[in-house]
Amino acid sequence: MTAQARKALTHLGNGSDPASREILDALPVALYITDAEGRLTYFNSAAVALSGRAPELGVDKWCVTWKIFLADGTPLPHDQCPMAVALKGGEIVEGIECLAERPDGTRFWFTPYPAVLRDSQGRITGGINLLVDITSRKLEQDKARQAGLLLGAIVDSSDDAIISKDLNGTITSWNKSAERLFGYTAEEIIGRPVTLLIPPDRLEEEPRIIARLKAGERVDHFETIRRRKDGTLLDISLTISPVRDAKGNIIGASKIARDITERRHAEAEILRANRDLEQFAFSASHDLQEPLRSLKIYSELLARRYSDKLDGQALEFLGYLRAGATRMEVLVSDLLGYTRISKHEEGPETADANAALAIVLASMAGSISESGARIVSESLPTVPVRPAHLQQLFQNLIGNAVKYRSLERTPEIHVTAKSQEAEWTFAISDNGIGIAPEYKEKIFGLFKRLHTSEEYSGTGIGLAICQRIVAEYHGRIWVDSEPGQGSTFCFTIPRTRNSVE
Amino acid sequence: MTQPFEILIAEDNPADIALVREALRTNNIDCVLHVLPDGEKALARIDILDSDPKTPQVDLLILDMHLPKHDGETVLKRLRSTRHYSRTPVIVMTSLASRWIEDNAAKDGAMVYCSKPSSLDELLKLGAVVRNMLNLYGRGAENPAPEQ
Repeated sequence: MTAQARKALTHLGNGSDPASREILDALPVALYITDAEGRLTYFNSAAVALSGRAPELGVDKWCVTWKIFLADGTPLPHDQCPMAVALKGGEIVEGIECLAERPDGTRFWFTPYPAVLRDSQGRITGGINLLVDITSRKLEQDKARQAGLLLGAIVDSSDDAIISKDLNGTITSWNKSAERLFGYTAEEIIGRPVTLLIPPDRLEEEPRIIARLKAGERVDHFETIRRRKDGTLLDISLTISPVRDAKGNIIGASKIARDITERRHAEAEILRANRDLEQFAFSASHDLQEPLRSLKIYSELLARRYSDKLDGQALEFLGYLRAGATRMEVLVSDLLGYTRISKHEEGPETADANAALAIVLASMAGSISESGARIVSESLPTVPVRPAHLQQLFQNLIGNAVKYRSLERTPEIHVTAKSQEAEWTFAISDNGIGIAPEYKEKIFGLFKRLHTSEEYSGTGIGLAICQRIVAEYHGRIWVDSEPGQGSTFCFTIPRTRNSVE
Repeated sequence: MTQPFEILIAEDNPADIALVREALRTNNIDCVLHVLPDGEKALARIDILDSDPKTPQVDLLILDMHLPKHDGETVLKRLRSTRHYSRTPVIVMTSLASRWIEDNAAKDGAMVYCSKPSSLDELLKLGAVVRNMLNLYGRGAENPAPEQ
């Protein structure tokens, strides 16, 4: 409300003139007029609508409203309202925000614009007041403030550091977890470059991040290292998203940093524990070979040297002793094979699957021809797997296909490889005895066997070895089978060695 | 009538000592076998033998790598650093040939290694290796090991 508008209103007089009343009545703004003592002499319909009442002219004083409160909620007596203050010759207070209550209990916000009316001698003859309804604006402000508070509370109570920066890389906000994580207080760091947090050997990350943000891209779970105020480094996972202004222009970025130091430590711990376990299994299976050797050779000596001195039962017992020793020897040597699987070895890292298959088939020529199996393979790819590992896979899977053949038909074994987007899928299918569905997962476990050693020999390590080899290369292994019809063992090998890259 | 061979065996496992005895017997090797059950006793015996003026008294050392107290490596080094036994033939018995064993066998003509027997065939082979080493380097051998 400008000074001119108020001046114009004062010229309308005390509202007694019908022409000006018509204008005043039509105004969409609440307006009332008082005499010099503050008694209401006129109010327009907008004033009734706003205040929710029709005051008694000549009786009600100072204000058209029912009850008034200051913005902080303290009641404001009518004789202290801005109109009253103005009429009593005091200061004219402009633009304050007041709260009023209607007789029905509802409330509204308004800003009063009081003015005094004077006669030609300058004496106060009355007052005129405009009440501008600001309720909707106040409610919106309130809502925004509430939302802001809520957001602030969420940001501050987050366990993750939440930081924002502009496109120059200057930090613009910093939550409590950021303080905790990086050691800088908000006062210290806001306005300073985000590169303070980046170790010198990783400074090149920032321009790349900024470039992606400018292109409107998000950076998701970027695992990197950042520096604390005290210079120590921490492992964090960053998620950075562009922040846009109302017009959609990218003006900066919000960054969520999660401390993954503990996770990293846990991962390293697991890796170490696994290595220890492997080392233990290796030593254990290696050391087991020694007493086994004595057992084997002495039972052999006994059998050779003393067979004529032993009776039938003693010879039978000796036979069990020797069979047990032989079985344990295979078991221990398979177990050694299992623990030795590691891709961190020297030698070629890719294998031509055709060559690997040829080597395996040659080494198995005896058992294959004995079984009468027909082995069909198509052209196979070269894959990023150590040749010894691929051979071991073929050896165990084809060995199983031959071993668990059906006696009702000629064994047929197909070796194929299918190319998919990110990986190769190898399949070794047979027409053997098959596997019941309930054992499809179990068979890959260490020492898991489905048959007695009388039916089929074996240690239950072969498929566990396959599983382990495939896992080393981040592949998968599974079996599809129809009991009595045959089995298809499939394994996948990612095309690139490290699928994370 | 020739003197029996004097053979030292540094080995802690009685089963393996008995195997060596068996190997010597089946190959008709006429010998006296002296057992040194740990590395400490082996080192002590080597020191005593070397300080004795009546030398040489040993024709062959059969050595296990995994001895208690001092390992076979230490025993072999000590033997090779003596005055009188630096060229005495040595058979290293091992269940797993290490790089160290392979390298030394390549350098040291009077040292061979063979795996501990786990079958009768291997037992016979061990006996043959002993005989061969004695023939090549033992007392009265055609090609005695030259003095250093």
